Amino acid sequence: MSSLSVRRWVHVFSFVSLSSIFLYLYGRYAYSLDRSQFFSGWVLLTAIVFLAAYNVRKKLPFIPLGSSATWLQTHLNVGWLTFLIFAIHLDLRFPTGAFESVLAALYLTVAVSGVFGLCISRIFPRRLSQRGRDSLSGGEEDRRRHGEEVIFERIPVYRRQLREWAEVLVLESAKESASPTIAAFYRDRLHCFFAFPRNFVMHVIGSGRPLHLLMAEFTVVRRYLSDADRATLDKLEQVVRAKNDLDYSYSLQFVLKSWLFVHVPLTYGLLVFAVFHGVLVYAFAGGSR
Amino acid sequence: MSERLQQYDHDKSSYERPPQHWMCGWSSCGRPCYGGPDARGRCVAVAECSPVRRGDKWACTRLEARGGFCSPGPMPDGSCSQSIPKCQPVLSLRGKRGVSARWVSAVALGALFFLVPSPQGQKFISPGDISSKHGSLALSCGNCHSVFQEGPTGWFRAAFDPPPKKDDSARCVSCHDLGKNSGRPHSIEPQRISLIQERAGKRKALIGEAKLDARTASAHSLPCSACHSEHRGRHFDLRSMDDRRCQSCHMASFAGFGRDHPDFSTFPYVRRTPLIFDHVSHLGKHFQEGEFKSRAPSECKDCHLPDPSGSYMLSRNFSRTCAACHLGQILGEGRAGAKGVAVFSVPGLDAETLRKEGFDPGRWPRDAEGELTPFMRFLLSGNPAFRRAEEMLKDTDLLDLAKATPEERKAAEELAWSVKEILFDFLGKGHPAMKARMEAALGRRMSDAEAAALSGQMPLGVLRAAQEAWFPRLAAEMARRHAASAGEDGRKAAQKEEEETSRGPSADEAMSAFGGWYLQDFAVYYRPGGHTDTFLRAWLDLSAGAGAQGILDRVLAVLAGPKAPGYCAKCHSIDAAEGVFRVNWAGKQPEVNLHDFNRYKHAPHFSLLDERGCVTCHRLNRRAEYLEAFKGRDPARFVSNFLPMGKKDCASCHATGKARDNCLTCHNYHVGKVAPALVSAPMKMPDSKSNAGP
Repeated sequence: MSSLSVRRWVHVFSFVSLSSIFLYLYGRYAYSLDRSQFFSGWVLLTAIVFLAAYNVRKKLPFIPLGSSATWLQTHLNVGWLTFLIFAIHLDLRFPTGAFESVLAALYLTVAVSGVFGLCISRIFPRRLSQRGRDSLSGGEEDRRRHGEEVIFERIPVYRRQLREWAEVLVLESAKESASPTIAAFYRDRLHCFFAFPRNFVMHVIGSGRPLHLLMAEFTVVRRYLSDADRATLDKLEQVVRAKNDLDYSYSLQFVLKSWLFVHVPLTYGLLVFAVFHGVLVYAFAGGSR
Repeated sequence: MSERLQQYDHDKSSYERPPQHWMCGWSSCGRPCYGGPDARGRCVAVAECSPVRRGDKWACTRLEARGGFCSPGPMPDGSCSQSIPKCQPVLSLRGKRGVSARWVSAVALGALFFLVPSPQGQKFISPGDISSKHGSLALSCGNCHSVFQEGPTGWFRAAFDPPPKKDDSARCVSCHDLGKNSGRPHSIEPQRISLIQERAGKRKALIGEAKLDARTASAHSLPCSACHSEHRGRHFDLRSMDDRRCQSCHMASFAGFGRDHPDFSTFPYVRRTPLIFDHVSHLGKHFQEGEFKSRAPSECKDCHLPDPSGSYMLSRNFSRTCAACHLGQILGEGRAGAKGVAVFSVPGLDAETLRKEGFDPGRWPRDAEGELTPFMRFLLSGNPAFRRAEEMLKDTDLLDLAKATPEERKAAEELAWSVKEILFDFLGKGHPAMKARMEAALGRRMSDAEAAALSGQMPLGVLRAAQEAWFPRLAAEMARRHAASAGEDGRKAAQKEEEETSRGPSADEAMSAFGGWYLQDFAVYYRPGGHTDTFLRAWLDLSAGAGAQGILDRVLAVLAGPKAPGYCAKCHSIDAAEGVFRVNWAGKQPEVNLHDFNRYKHAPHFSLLDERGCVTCHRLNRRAEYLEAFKGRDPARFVSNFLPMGKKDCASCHATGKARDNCLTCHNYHVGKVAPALVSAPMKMPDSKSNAGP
């Protein structure tokens, strides 16, 4: 059994163990005149605070609190557990009160965004890595050319770099050849393509249609060019493909980072509402606990 | 294109710091400066490198990643010639996320600060609709939650208060009256729980004792909200409760009724039946006899029908059940002795010996030989002279006073005149005289209705006939006796009294004749007029209420004896309760709103029965000494006509996956009187304004 499988089984075992412990304690607590919602509520709040602490842990890397990987896996296990606790805490019904509805909606949004983040963090990196391998049958060089993994923060730099390369090719073509075809093609079709990230949604869903359409235009243009210009167009096509790959990386990495804009900020809102919920519950418990 | 976009060499690649909050403003153009902004987001870039002096020259130090050495090189003064234009630093993704988090937190807090104290705040924080039965309370949280009036700051304080301080149960019980023990377990006093545990005996371990121990239960007060959860929707059943709530005190956990619940012991028979009816002898013997066979009921429902709630099977009334066979018995048909009960009588007295010895009992019937009836003893007990005489004569044979002492003879004379006095009194004053004597005997006032029932509305004619038969010259004798004790004025008054008495009482019309009274020999008898005879019932109630040691014990003995006229006690059992007796005139009658620990509804089960019908559960116990239990007065000492039911009788259906088997299916939590919510409405005429009609 590979270490990955072992780790996976350890995680499954951890989740099952945590769930079992909670269900056992909840079951024991139910044998009391205290409301079991108090128990599940406290466990849920503690779990949410622990989940939120992962963000704090990432801001304090210098404190030896365990590896980030361990935190992440525990974050995932506890996160799954909160679904169970939440369902039990709400007695499998959505609240009807305004405040509690907002609170429940906040939790569900945070939790579902977490599941979404987990899914894309499992899928998108693989797609990014396999981009070159799946689309090309060439060797290592092809993979480097078309499946290059880039740092997200550097993408604007590379985009500028590719645009400059393309512009150099077009200018050289214009100097060496009397034909304005490539320059016009660049001005009409490629200038905007290189200026910004393009085809965001199509890249996220993994569609190659925009590139195919652009390549079709290259084919149309090619028939009107001389041999020298065709060589330039071939180079330009390579730059366009590199830009397309860069956009692909940008789109997927942007999604990989942007889901946290829902997950993290709403967690703080959830904590504020959860604490106020606790105050209301204790103040209006009517003597029960 | 074979050139790679990304270089990782130390001099060809800058070090990215995604956690930093600020980025160079030129990043979006793809030309970020090397140093980037400072931690506060200020642009600190000046030039692309910091030239170094090598010998007498300044050398460029620009990184290869930034283009390497620049061709102009440093300025003569050693400054870089490639200055960097100032930028407006932008937030990194991490920075933007941080700002978003702060905004969301601020919005959440702001929403609470503005919404909660607002007029809509109450609706906002409400956790959901309250049940429709409490719908009228939904106007304000303060109707149920006392802390609501204190406002948000008060709520924060209250959240940290101990639970008893926040107990709002008083507001619940202001409508739902559960008595003074409403907050205690099962709404009953702790002593009763102790008693239950004692009775549980061996089963105590199964019931559990930790939290309901009487020693600690008195300190426990359970708020209503411990079990009843509001704000669960309009149609939520506030009485629904998880079995585990019960098991929090009843420590022995039951996984299911059919599996772990203790078996029943004597269920459902917890006391003897109020009405004495031996099912075994009736079904096995009387209903089979030819004379009664045609009148006997053929089905259980001929005698038992469910009450309106469907819970209890009640006995139908006398006329629909017992009367067919027993009415004549009550009337005295076939009775060998007297068909009625002697109420007034002339006791046997050795009057000749008294006269010989110088005493004056007056005229006394020679053939009288009975004893004073218990009724007369009671009516005379208000007379101190009679009581002394009775005490003196308790061991004396009144029919032979030859060997009696002078004191006993004097007492016998007093007794004789007491008997004449009461008869004379009744003849002269009628029922008011009887009422006065009963009040004197009881030492308390008596209502006219009670006196009327106890007098049996005795007709004067019977008394007058008795007087003429027993004491023909009663008026003259009484006048003479009164005169002798009252002097000359008394004699005149006595003469007047004799004249008036001879004319008969003036209240004849007020004492209309009722059937049932008759004269026989030297006693006036009352013969029961049928079932629910008022006279017998009144005297039985009075004598039973006086208890075993009262002055009416002999009356009770006469009326409740096995062969007593009317045979009341043949069917109506008499229970001892707190020193007195109580006659059970009716079978079990469910008291409205009175909850017991157990509950059962007969009606829903009828359709489940096969041809055995009621016998499916109520199996006759042929060996039961049913009637033996009624010789005593303790209703708890009994033998049922039926075999106790077993758990299996119920568990065949009430099991997991079949019919309900939770605790509250068969048990009530609140025990005792659970009164409905009532308001206090003052009894006064509304004023004209508030009662303005059309």
